[in-house]
Amino acid sequence: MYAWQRQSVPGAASFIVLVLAIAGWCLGYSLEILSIGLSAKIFWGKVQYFGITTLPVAWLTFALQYTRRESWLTRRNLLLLAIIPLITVLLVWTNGIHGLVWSEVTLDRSGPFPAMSVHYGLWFWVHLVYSYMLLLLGTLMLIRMVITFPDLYRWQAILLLFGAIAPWIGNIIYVFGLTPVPNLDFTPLVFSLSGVTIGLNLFRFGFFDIVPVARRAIVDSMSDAVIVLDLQNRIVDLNPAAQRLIGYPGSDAIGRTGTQALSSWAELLSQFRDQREARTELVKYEPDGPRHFEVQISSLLDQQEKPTGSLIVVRDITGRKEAEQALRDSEKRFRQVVSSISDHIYMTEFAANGHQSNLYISPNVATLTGYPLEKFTGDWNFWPTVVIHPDDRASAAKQVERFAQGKNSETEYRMTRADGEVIWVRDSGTVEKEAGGQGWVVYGVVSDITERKRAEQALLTSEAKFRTLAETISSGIFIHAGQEFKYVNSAAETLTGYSQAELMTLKFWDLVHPEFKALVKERALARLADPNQPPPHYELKMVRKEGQTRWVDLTTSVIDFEGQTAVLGTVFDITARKQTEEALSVALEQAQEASQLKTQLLANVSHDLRTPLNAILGYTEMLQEGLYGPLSSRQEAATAEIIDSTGQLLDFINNLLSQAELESGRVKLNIVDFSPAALLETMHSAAGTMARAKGLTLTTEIADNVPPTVPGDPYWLRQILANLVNNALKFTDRGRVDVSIRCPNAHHWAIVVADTGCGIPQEALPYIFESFERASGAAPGVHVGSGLGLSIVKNLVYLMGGHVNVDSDVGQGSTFTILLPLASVREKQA
Amino acid sequence: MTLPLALIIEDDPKLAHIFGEALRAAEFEAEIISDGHVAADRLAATIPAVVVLDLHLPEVSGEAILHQIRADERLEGTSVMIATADPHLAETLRNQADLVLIKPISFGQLRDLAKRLRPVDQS
Repeated sequence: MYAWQRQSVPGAASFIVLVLAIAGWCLGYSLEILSIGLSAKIFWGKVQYFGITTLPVAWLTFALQYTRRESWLTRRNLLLLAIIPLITVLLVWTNGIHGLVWSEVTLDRSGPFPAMSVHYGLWFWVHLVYSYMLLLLGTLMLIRMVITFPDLYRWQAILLLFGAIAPWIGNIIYVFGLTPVPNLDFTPLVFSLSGVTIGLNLFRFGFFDIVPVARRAIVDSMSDAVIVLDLQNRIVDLNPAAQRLIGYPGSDAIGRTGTQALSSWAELLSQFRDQREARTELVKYEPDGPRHFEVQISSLLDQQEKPTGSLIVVRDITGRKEAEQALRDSEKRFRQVVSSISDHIYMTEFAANGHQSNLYISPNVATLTGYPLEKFTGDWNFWPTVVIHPDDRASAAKQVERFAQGKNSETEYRMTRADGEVIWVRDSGTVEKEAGGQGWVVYGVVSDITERKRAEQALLTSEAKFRTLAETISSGIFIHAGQEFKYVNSAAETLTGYSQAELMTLKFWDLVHPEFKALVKERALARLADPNQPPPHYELKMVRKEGQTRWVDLTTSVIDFEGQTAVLGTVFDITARKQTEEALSVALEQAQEASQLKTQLLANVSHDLRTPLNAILGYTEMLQEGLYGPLSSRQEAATAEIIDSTGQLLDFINNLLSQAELESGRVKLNIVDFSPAALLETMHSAAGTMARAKGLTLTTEIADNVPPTVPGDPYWLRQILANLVNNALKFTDRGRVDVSIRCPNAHHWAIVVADTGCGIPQEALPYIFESFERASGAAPGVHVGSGLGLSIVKNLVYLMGGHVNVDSDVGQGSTFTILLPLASVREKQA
Repeated sequence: MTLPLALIIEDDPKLAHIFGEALRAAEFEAEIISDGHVAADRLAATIPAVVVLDLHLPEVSGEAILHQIRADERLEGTSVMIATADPHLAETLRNQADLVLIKPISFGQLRDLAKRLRPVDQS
């Protein structure tokens, strides 16, 4: 019953079976002895075998369990062990048929009581060997264990050993016929004895409490110090760790009071002297640094719950304390790091059931978002539904899905700060499995990448801008490297007639017109020879896809393209310009030809007008001179009108031709030294007639300081003088016209024409030198002229490097002064 | 008394007539020649006091005749009056001629200028 109550204890269950087997055997044997008839004895003999066959198996099982080898006792092994016993029982009960167990059974009446005498059959020996083998195994196991028993369990050990060996002795005596009482089998008796001794163990020594032996081994090997005190605070037990702690070997320590033994701990323990249940941590300062101990004091109670002593467990927790400190230091550093970086850091736990919770949110989130930290710690949804930009919430949600699947994820999205500013962030999370848990933790970093995004955007914009520029510009742009095109723009397609794809398979050389290949080669070689002096651009002909030739202007520069030296070229079509140039060249030739013709025409006009004019003038003068007989007064007046008109016509012709020459820029001055006196004489002989006709005085004068010859073009100077004098005579009705030559300074000589005519109004002065412009003060119809005279004078004088000045008073007359250089023009021409 | 000889070398008959009348009025014996070849032959045979020379002549140019006169030592005393409608050409020959007159030339002016060129011993 004792064992039954403790069947949970190792070995208890098999022990019950063992005792039952012994009991069965003993009962069967007793009834066999007490039976008189042989058949009755055989029956009880057979009954015994239930116990006999069960016993070895139960014994071995008990030994295995008791020595903590239960793991071997699988259901399969137990079945294997039971095979032979089962066969034995079967054969015993069918022995009458085959006699494999008992070959012969007789009744022996020789002893003190009638006994069954048997001759054993073959199977009996199989059974015997098997049974002994199991018993031997079990016994050896127990003996081996008993040897290692500490003193405290000595009696337990002796009794157990006796219980183990006794059946052997009995059985050997019986089997080998050494018994003093013939035919009496001692085996069931000694097995009963074993049962008694083991039962004694159970009752007296708490046999199944042998498990504390294991506990002892554990306690002894513990690194914690364990001290057991009795009610008088005397040490009754202590483990090696405690011995090391107090510095006494166990034998010295037992019996001492706790206070004595733990003298070095006295102060620390004093406060716990009267306490039965306490737990505290102590620090003991030792030379190599402080050591931390956890002390636990608890009462030891007996089965009646009465205190029997106390147990002190002292644990060295220095390592743990140091680890805790290291952890605190580490965490402090971690927090410092987190607060010193601008990135926001978070840890989110994803439980196996999908539930999310924020483990940590760095305070930087406030700086990053502008919202207070509490907004985030309190509400998981604040980040995804308020902070993340509405347009990016879907992509951010995908990241959370990935986290929920236990995958790392990195994404970029926009968020709206509390102040409304939209910034770009990169949210990068790494997933780590929770130690021992089913869920995982995401360690995330959120960084502000707005600047980078802006730079990227700026780059993209810039790239797009230049690409658009390159693709919309009308010039062809290409990059040529390593004998092939690396880039061509749309305009290059238009220009060459090839598609971009086709151009990529061609070389620049392929497009050059054969006439220009030599030039292109020469330029390329020149650039190779001196890369710093490439010709900025040149013109060449290119051949289009369909064979048409186009003129282009090519500009090249050497650039670095993807780490390779390349040529960046700009080509624009100048075919139209070339055609225009050619047309212009033809036009110029034609114009020059026309100009030649015009000059020739002018010369002919001049000759052809002057000759008949001379005839008119000559014959009219001869009429006047009376060569053809005397004239009436009316005839004289008529001839005078003819002469006057002829003069006007001549003036007009002269000026017209001069103007034409001036406008065509063909006036070439022929500067020679000539006599100013001759100039005046020629003028006087031509104008004298008109002066006389109008009744005016025409005088000429040369100042003393004028040299005999002065430089100038006499032809054009005569023209200038004729114009000035004719004008003076024309606009003067009374008085005189005085023409003089003088030198106003060392560098100039001057022609002065002064009249006493009508004068020029002040407001008309700026216009008198313009072509076809006459002073408005002149009476219309009275003074007729070409309106070219003064314009020609001014142009010619400027051409000669001189200057015209006019001084006029209305009603008083005008004075024109032509100032001409004495030397400079000729020197300039030379 | 023989008048000094004036050769009028002019291919236009009207002008040659006017110039001849002017020279006669200036008391010269005026001989009119309208052809360059004839003029050259005549100049080789006689020594005129004055030559009124047109530059645009058929066959032999007036310029060539001027050169001939200036190259001939016999004609050292002969005065040459160029009478032309081409002012530019006339300018180039100004140094070789005694007078350059651009057409139209006044009858009176030619007569007066010619008078001045009469040989002194004969005036």
